[in-house]
Amino acid sequence: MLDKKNLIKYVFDVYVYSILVFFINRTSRHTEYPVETILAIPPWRLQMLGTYLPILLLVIVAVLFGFVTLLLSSLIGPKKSSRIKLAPYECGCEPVGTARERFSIKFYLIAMLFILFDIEAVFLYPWAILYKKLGVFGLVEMGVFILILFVGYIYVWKKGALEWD
Amino acid sequence: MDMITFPTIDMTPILPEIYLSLLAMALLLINVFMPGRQKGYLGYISFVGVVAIAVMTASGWGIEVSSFSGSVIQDKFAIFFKIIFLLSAGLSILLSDQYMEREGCNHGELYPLILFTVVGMMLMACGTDLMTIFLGLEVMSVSLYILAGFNRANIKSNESGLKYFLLGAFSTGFLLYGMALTYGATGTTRIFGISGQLSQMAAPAANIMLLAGMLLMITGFAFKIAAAPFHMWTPDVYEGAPTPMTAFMSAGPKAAGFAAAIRILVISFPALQPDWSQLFWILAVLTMTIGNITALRQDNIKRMLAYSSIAHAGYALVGFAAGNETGVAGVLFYMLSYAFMNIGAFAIVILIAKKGETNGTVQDFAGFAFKRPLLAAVMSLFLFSLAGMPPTAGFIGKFYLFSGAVQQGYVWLAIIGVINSAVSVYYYLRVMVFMYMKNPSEEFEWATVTAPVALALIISAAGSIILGVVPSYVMQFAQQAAKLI
Amino acid sequence: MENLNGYLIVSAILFSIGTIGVLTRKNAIVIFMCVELMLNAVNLTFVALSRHLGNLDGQVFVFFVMTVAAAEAAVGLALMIAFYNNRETIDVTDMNSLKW
Repeated sequence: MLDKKNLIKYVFDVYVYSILVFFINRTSRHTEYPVETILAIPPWRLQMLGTYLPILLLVIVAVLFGFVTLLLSSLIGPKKSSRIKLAPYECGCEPVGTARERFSIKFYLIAMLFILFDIEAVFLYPWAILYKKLGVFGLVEMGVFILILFVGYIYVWKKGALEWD
Repeated sequence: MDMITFPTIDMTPILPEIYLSLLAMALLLINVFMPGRQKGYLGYISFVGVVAIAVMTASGWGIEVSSFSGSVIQDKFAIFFKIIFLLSAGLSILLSDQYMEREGCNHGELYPLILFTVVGMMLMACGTDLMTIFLGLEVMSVSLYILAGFNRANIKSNESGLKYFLLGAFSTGFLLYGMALTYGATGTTRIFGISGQLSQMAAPAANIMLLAGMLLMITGFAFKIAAAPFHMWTPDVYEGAPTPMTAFMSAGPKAAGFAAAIRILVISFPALQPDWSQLFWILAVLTMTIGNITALRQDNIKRMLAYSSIAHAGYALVGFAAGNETGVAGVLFYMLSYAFMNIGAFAIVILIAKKGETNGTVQDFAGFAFKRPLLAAVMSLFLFSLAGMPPTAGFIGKFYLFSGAVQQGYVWLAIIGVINSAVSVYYYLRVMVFMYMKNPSEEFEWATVTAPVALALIISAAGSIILGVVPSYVMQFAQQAAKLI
Repeated sequence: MENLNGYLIVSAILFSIGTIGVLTRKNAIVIFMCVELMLNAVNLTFVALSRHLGNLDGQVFVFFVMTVAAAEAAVGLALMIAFYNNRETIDVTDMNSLKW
């Protein structure tokens, strides 16, 4: 459920993420400043690079926004703590118990499928970087690649491996 | 932004692989979308597909195409091996239906897995880049791990699959490290590029990195072709795996291991031939001797054939050690005839055995000749051929292997090979003694021979005889294929 | 890159640790983890050499090794589950239904 506290967390995450995306876009557009060069610049000289001043501002604003929202919520939010709310995890799992509990075999199946389909993304990264240079040829090649993966996906689906019960 | 321009790519060398993959994927989807538990028709579809692709592959004979900037090649060597793979896959598919039905594990995934294994083996045979060869090897191995453990409910099959997996992955590590060091020493992964770099080196034998790379690669391949002292997994894996898959494993992947190893060593490392030849000399002697001596005391027929397959890898290593054209042609010919005779012998083992793989000892052959004279005669033919007696395929194959060794000056190697093959006669004849001279210990129903199994038996019997009686026809193809450089 | 040897030595050590682990450990999953360590040691070698030689073949190789290792892991897990379902153990010393 999206309560107030979680909502703030989500907003904060999205914000940080967008800053990261912005940063990556800026650096990749300026080939004369590769990432290594930028990281090598001491922070106190960063404002000399006028281009990157907005990023610094953005970071500061982001951090401030995070702190301010957290502060506000702790000041004006209702506080009714209970045992369950203070538990380390809030995902429906029992936080205390034997560590040698048996997991359902389903977890292994999901883990296997995850490994398989997750690692294939590794081939998408080089393509994504050279997307424009590779043109239609690259698009078709990746289409074939995805199609083959898709056959596997349909197989897994029809076999019922994706159904939890 | 300048576009990357691509050279026109000639798909010819990997067309068979592409078609096989498409067929396998189609079968996978048919398997899940068609209701019903009977999956035998998938076997027929895949058999027809394998035959069609074999015809297509063979029609490329004599047309040499290198493509994907030297990663794959279509030459006679690759085509000859591809035919061996397709043959062993086709025969195993024919044997599968009856066996899997009896063992109650007739899942439709079997056939796509066999086809993917063949795709991997074909890539190993036509790859001229360490990367392609590695990928082919892994496609083959990963499918084979599943095929070995295919009978999920059977503890022996589980164990076979798991052992094969652990040791196979272990050996992959060695092979890969060897490839990495070779890449480091030469700066390329193309095997023609490696040989070019080697010919420019002043003293390639003094380059530690290169030597270590070659040795590690040889270790990896020795695991895959079950050469002693890296053969320990073979008997267990072969005994536990479903019998049609054991037949397949002993013929196809072994040939694929030889294909890749020969191509890498003969093309890339001719400068180091004295070194690797000596190494294979030792490996061949060890493999033949250990395989034969241990096979002598086996009662379980699958286990006996497993040790015998180690010994046969040893014979093929004799030709490999010679490293000349006669030797390599001998390996090609021997792998083809081994596919015929060994899969044929396993077909009879399938017919003798009962549900749950009981009834699989040499003693269970007692009285077979009185009940089924024709099948016993065919089995005798396969056993004669495995023992290397004229006029069968096994004899001619061994003849070429050993004469290759003699040509290269390895007379002692040939002598040890001949002694070994004399030793092997004992355990093959022992089965025949039980078939022809002992009475059955108890009355039981012999399994019926279904049409696909009969076809497989006819093909393998015909192959074992024809290759033995008129070898020159096939031998000329093998000799052309062996001209690698 | 001056310290190529450093990378090669580290990866050789990692590879040896993996090999020793495979040979001495008893749990199938731990053995497989050791195999993965060997493969990743090779990956390190490839990347270091690729950087040293200034060509990209080694890095492409690493991509393939990674994906292949993932496929192997999936198959291995499946085989281990099948074995566990029958024997309630994945200890390699319990893999004794096939006589040695």
